[in-house]
Amino acid sequence: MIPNNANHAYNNCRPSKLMAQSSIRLNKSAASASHELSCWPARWNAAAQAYAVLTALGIGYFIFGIPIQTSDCIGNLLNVQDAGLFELVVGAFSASGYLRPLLWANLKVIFDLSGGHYFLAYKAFHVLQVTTVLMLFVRLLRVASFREFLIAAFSINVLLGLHTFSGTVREGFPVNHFLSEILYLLAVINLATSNARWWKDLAAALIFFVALFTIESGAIVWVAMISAYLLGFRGLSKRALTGSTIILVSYLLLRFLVLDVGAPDLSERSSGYGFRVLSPPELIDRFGHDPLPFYAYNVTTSMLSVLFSEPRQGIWKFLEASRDGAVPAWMRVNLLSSIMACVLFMGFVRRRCSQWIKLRFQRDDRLFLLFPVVLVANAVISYPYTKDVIMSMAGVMYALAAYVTVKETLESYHPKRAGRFSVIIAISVLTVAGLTWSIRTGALYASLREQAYNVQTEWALAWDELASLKSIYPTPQAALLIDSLRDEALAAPIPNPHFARTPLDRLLDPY
Amino acid sequence: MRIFQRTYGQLVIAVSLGLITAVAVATFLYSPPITHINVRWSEQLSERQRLKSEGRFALASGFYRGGTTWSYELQDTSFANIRSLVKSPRVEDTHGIVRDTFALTHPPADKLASVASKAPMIFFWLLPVTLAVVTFVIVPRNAQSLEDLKANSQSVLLPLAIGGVPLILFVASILMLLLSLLGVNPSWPVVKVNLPEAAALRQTGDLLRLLDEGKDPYARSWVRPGLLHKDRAVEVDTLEAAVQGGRVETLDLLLQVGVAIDEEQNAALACLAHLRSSTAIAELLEERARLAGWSIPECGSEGVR
Repeated sequence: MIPNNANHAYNNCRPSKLMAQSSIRLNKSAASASHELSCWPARWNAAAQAYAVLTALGIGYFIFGIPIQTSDCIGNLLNVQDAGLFELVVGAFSASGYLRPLLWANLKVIFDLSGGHYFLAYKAFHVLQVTTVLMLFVRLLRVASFREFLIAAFSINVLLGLHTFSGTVREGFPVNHFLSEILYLLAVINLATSNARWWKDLAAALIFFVALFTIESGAIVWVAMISAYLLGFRGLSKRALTGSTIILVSYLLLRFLVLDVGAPDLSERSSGYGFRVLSPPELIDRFGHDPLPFYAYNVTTSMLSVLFSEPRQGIWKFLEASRDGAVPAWMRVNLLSSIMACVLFMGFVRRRCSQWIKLRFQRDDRLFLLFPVVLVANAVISYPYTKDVIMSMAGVMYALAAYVTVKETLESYHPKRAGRFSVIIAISVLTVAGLTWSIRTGALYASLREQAYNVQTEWALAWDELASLKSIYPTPQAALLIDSLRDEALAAPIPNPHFARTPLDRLLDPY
Repeated sequence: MRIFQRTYGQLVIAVSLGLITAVAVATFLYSPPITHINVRWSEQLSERQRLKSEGRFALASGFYRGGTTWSYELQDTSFANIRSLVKSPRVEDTHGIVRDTFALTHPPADKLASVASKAPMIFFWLLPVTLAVVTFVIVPRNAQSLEDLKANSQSVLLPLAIGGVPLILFVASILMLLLSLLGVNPSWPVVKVNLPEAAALRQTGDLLRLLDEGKDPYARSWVRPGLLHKDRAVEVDTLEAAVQGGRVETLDLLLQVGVAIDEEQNAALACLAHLRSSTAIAELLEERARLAGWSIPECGSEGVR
């Protein structure tokens, strides 16, 4: 269905021949959706894409300012340097707790292609991923007017400002695979919401395969594919879903029966619980006999964290601060912005649920409903421990839902029937929403700058760690790699947090 | 000239009302300045003891940093509380506190600065509240003008309300990006520092680079105000700057890269560390003295006795 306000923009739009052919194969509503797809006005969409690319470049500037990090990264690079591609991939099948062969393949391919320019290669790949993610995100929005362009600008800020996204750009291991998973998710949703083609089925199954064998969160891509189909998107056929399901079942059999890789247990790492972080011995002591309550806690808090920005990494920071009577400004900003978004979501659900009960879904309804599905799937897969970045896939769908709900809210707003108060309140509330989410986006830039300083300091101080790595990898190439990365990190021009302070910092989430 | 059928006088009244309301709301919602410090607890401290100590020293919103180090919001910034924290045997080291004067490295601003520091918060609430009050007063009761306003609200005003600030942020980030092509980027403020300043700031990249360039770590240089002393410059050498700044890791780094110190310097620095209650630094230097077979310095209130 073409929105009323976009009628003018669609005047010169004609369905393509290919479109018409494909429509024959589709049911009526799907054909209508497909027609809509081929016709959305190019001008504002192009403007939104340009906005996304320039925003990504802005973030890229900061990413290039951060040296390649030592923690969780230098060991990976030495592994990759030390082994061949085949050896790395095969070796990943014998790891305990994790099954991530394509993660290693990805690292190895970039390493070998870099020609020794590791920093440049990995950072360029990171920026490329951010750019692609933002472009795929904007592509789903189908921006068709100046109004939608402004709403898209807001939803990009929601995407960047949500705490689940920051870890995907702040850290590189040296490839951030959480960001890769977001990219795979958006790519598959883009395919699912587009016109059906045989090659898209193949591409979707391939993307799912890569996502699943990169990190475990890849299973969410399958959930999104199935949900998109059930909600009425017909870009992917049953063939794609069947193929992907076979891949998933094979993966599960391989992981749990053949290789007995298992899943991470309580001794794996610390995790937030209640008002503090519990160390692995504490976790074992408390939940070793029955970990289910702990897992249920993690799933629940992960979902709440995306919706309300609280608790964070399993810790109820806002409640704790409220109890102590000192809630920092940034917490208020986070909570307020999230509550406003949730109120918009609830308003949308209230207005649309009568249609959903009758199984009538518009494109925006389907996009919106993907959010709760991905949220639950993402939270369930994060059961072993809570961490902001693990929920990044749900975070992206949250931003998508924000776009849909704001757009629908403004469309359903009837100014002619509205009173004076209504106009005033609407303007004020929306300004606060735009402002608070922009502040959260600002926090992302500040955290990237802080990360640059932390990484450089790590390099300077990690004498023992680097010496021990050199003894584990006693080759001249390994020593050369460590020394060259260290020299590069120490020579980088990085601002000291002392000189980068502003009065606005109190509004910015430091985590 | 009339705007929405209102005179300038009415407009001024509207804006004033808006500002007053905004300031009242900002004051109500304003949160006091928060001081962040890091505390490295003694390794022998149990979980229960740590939690108890956190309560005793008014340390809130603990965030685990690794090892035995936690970040906190220090809610009681009184001299007595900071002194007991620094002197506590349960605390190995702190960051964010000048350990000999028991003052905060970055204390909450004084009254005037405090008002200035509230500016962003006030602005934060001021913008929408002022907007609401001003709109309320100037939005006409005149039917035709009201209809015009309503007609514009859906297509322009409301989308601008939600997308306007993100758009401003976007333009600002693009400007920064363009400026960076000219070699200037206010969002990436790299400040040149000398060796003692690098040590005081824990700016380890610059520290090692300057040493590589052959800068003398024993030469005394001025450290700008706000780094080692709140409001005056201090002339120190690099090692002293690290000790005065409570930077145990920086001092360790300097020693590891070959900045040599003799027995006398070691004793003087150890006593300086004791004076500033930098237990970790004092221990590092005393351990060094033990390994070198030097005598352990006896420190008085003025330094080495």
